[in-house]
Amino acid sequence: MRRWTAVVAGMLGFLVASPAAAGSPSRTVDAEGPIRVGAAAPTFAGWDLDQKMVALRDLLDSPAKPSSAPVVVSYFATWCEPCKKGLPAVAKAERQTGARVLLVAFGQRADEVRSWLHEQGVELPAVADPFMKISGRWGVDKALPRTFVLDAKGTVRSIFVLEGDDFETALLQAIEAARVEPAKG
Amino acid sequence: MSWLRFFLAASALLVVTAAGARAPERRIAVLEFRWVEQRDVGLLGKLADQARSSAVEVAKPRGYLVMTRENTVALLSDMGLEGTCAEGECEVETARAIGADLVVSGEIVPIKGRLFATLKLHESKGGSLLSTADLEAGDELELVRNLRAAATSLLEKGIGRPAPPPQRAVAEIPDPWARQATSAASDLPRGPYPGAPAPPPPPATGGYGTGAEVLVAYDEAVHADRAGEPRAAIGAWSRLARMPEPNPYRQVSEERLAWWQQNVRAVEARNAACVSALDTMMKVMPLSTVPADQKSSMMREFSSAHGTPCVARLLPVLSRADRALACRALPGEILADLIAVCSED
Repeated sequence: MRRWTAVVAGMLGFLVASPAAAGSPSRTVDAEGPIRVGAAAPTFAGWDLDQKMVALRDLLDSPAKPSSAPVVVSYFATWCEPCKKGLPAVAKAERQTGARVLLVAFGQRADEVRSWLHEQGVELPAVADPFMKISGRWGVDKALPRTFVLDAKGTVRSIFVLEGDDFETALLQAIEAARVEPAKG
Repeated sequence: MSWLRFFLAASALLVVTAAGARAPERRIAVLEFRWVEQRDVGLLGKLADQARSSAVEVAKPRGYLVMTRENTVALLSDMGLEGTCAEGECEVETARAIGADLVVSGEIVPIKGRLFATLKLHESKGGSLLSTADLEAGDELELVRNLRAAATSLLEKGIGRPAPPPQRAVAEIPDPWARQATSAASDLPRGPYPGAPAPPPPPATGGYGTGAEVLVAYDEAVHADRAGEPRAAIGAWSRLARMPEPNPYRQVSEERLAWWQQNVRAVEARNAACVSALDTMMKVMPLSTVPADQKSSMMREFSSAHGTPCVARLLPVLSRADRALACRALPGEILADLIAVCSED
């Protein structure tokens, strides 16, 4: 009897501690493909959903347009289920922190994502990447979503490879951390 | 109440008008022309501008946005690319990187004091060469003067003459994706697919606890697979492979995805080799300095290495005399396939 109690207690303990039961936590990595935390993010440019040209550099700090706001680049697709959960968190983070956000539609054209984003209640600038040229440049070719937080100078500060239940909080923290100069050495 | 109705109707009209007025979603880019040893950037820019003017004339009425030089240069720079193409399918890759649906490129080759320009129009979705146009000029001034006409001919051959400007012009614009899908499909293999793993039958209802989304995605993937359209099949299997558990089709979707990708890669490699060889043949065949027997020999090698589809792309761009020479050099089975083109002259 004591043995069965121990087994049941052990199983309960596992369930509470397991990510599935407690909600998967978000996960960040130091490097993903060619992108490294601490290194400059690759530049890119494309066409937004209103057919205007958008370039990452336009969001970064420059002599012409000084800015101290971190930048969030998030790759998504309409068929990506987890993106439905992650994108509203990105939108909320933009509203709360003033971070600049650019979404990249992985392998999709503007007309394929426009209404979908609207349905998700996400009104953020997005660039279409139908031939995955931007995604390829950022090494986003294995899984979605992928969210990158850059500081105002364009240095990669966080790479989210899993957007879990705590993504909203984790993203806010990453954005706030990107406002602070990283410690040297 | 009637005011409310009027207001609702007016709002609906505004929404419809706004949607209809959305900027065109198809773009055409002109890359800087390639001219080995030509250092005059102004001249090269002028040539590209002439082609851009033609694009405004021919492609804009057909719903294309003509990319400006500034946009093109900025996009190329941000995507880490150069503005000219060295060889092969660079034009297509460049067009894809800058978000252009169509791309005009050109090369100028000086031969014995005269200038020979070849213009090409590629579409980026399927990667096919839609049309080519040639131009010969005695000097740079003549080249600049005549380039616009050549570019207009290139664009009209590739995307058709602009529709006359009646009230229904927009409705008459053909869908370029339809053309691209057709050309892409004809380049790529269709089913049945020897060696490919067979799609499994659907599970019994309720078996595996599979979600409706997964079942729908599986249905779509099998449909696309059986239709034999590679890009649709790749998209559909890829979506299915990424669906969350429980997903009993993960393994088969990954297998079929890999199989289709392998096929597409092989076809793309064949296409690239064809384009590169076509480039050479298009330069050599018009040259009067190359003896006929050498052209015939090159044509034989070209046709046996690249087959009917590639030869079919060369013949229409040759002059009548060159086409006759090329046809005479074709092996019997390829000539039989292309007898309609070869007997035209």
